[in-house]
Amino acid sequence: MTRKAQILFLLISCHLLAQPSAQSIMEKMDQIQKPIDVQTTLKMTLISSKGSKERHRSRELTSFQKKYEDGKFKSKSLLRFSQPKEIVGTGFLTWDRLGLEPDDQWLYLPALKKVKRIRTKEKGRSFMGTDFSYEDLSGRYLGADTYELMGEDRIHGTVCYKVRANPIEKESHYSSRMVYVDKENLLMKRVEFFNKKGNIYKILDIPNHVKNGDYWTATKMIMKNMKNAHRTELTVTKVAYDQKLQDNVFTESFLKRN
Amino acid sequence: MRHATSRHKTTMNKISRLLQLSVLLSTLSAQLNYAGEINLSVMTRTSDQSQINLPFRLLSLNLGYTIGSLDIKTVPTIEYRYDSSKSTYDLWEAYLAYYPEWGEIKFGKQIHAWGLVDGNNPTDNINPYDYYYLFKQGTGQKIGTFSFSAKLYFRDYQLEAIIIPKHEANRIPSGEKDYPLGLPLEQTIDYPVVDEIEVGMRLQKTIGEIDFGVSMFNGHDRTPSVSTISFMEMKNGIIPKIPKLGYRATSVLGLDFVAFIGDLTIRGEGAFFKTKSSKLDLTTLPIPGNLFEIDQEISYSQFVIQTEYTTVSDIMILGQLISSSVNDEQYSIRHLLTGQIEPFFNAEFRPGMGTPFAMFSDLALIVGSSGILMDDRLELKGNAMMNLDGKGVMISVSTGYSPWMNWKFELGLIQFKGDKENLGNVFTKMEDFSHIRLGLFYNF
Repeated sequence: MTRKAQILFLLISCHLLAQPSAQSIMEKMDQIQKPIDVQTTLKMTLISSKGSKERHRSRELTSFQKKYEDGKFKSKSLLRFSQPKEIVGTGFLTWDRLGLEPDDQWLYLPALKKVKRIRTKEKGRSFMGTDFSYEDLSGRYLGADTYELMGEDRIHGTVCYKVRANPIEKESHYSSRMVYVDKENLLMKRVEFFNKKGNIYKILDIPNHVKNGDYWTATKMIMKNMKNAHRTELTVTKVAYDQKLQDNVFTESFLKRN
Repeated sequence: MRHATSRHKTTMNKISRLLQLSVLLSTLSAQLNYAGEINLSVMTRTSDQSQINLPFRLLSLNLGYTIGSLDIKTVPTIEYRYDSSKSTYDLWEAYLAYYPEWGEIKFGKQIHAWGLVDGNNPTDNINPYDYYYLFKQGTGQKIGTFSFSAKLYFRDYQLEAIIIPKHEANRIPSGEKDYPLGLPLEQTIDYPVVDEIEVGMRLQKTIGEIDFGVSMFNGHDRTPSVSTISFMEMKNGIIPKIPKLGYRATSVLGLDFVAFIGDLTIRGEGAFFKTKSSKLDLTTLPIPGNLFEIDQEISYSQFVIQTEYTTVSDIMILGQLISSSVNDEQYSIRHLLTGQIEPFFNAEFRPGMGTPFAMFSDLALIVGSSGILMDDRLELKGNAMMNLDGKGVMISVSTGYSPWMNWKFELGLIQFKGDKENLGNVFTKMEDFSHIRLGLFYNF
């Protein structure tokens, strides 16, 4: 081996060793300081396009989320719609379990005064006609996927790690997800969802993050369906952290309060 | 100088009070919530395009006020009918709800919803039904009843108890020429319920992906039935009967479940009813010498099994089998003065509780489909109810279009086809009620 080749080999080895592993990137992203609880007011816009024409339909909702460290749940969240008025009070409760055990999800329909449990197999379905599925709304447990570092890419003006996440459990409706993580702040900037055939199915873009105190907030999320040129935009209009949300906020009983 | 300071202080106090008041008002308004619906609709017969004149809910308002764990809820409604231009105000619901850590307590005029099947719930007998709104979905077909309820959530269990201090009956249209299921004349209830307190309990348990429910209810029928008969001797020898109405005492044992098998959701609900003559209040009536009380003890059951499948594009396909059967019936008549008991065979049993759709047929199949398309703009629904116990079918299709947020136009059709040779068939009676419905809804 020539001296030049030895130096090149050394440089490549150093570069490879300096690159963090996909697992450690995802672990670091998971460890970013997050509030114990967060209450967010969101505007949800459904956008359908036909040629250059776009049609918008908006909804407004409030989201409550709380982190749990009780060894059973990762987090619990509750969504409640306030606009349009026809569906006011419609609520959605998720208990995001640790490990591979399926999450618990319930939907409250005020017109029927009934809480309907959503089964695990239904989680691939669209959440109330949006481009988000029930599965997308559940948080993802770090150990639920295996990770591969696929390189780097520039997304929304920031250099990102490109990590492929392959689900361990069979119940997932995706064959894999390509996650783009901002190198500097370890924030998720984009997720590409691949269907069971391995084709790109949906893209979630998170262009803007704002730091409020110690916490980062994604102020806009755009879920684009690649099959039908439809997209759903979620814009944060109000956010409040660590309000000491009580456990009973994340119950069937509270879900019915409107 | 001192005078100026004092005036300044007074102004500051006023501003401070105004600020406090505005803070208080904004706090109060932040806890006040409302949602309402204005609905204008017309129904025209498919047979001759004539208008069907029945009341409809023109306005319903959901007004709520929250103070910590306490909610105050009221739902005032205005019902309107075109033929008489008459509007009627009703307080559909008005209750206090308290949400402690362990569950919920509610007190007041309220609507309950029991059962895991959609729409036709044999176990749901807490509230009476409003027969004017029988074809409405959800709680819209029920009448609010004054009750006290408590629900406890404990691990995978839910335990609910309901006490109703005053018996409430179904609202059955009378003297309505446009409503075939109505009565020709308003019914007089000769024997109102004596022991009015009604009690219900329901326990629900989740095991894996299956929810089970067991319920019991002790109360009185929501539809009246014949309690006594007078035999009158006429000159020509004919002995006509004069029936007097009351409400039977009925107890219900209910079972319901929801399970997920593959891509299908299976829901089931069954109720076993035991009904018997209730205690009559005869103190205010002079007992005529020819008055006989009907002693009856009937057990009947209703079952609903539902299968649903939701497509990837969120279209729900549903199949529902409704069955109703009388398991045992015993009748006798007892002379109220002498106590003499005689067998009685001339009784026609009609259930006073359970799902109202059981009156259409003892065995019926409903198949339906519904979907919301074009980002909530277009809603499509279609249902067919087939009588498997004879002839008869009901077909219902509707489409709702919302061009702007909170506005919706609705066009619906209900068509009945009965049996021309059987005029007693409910589907035959309903044939003339087949109609096209046009509605405009505004939600605020």
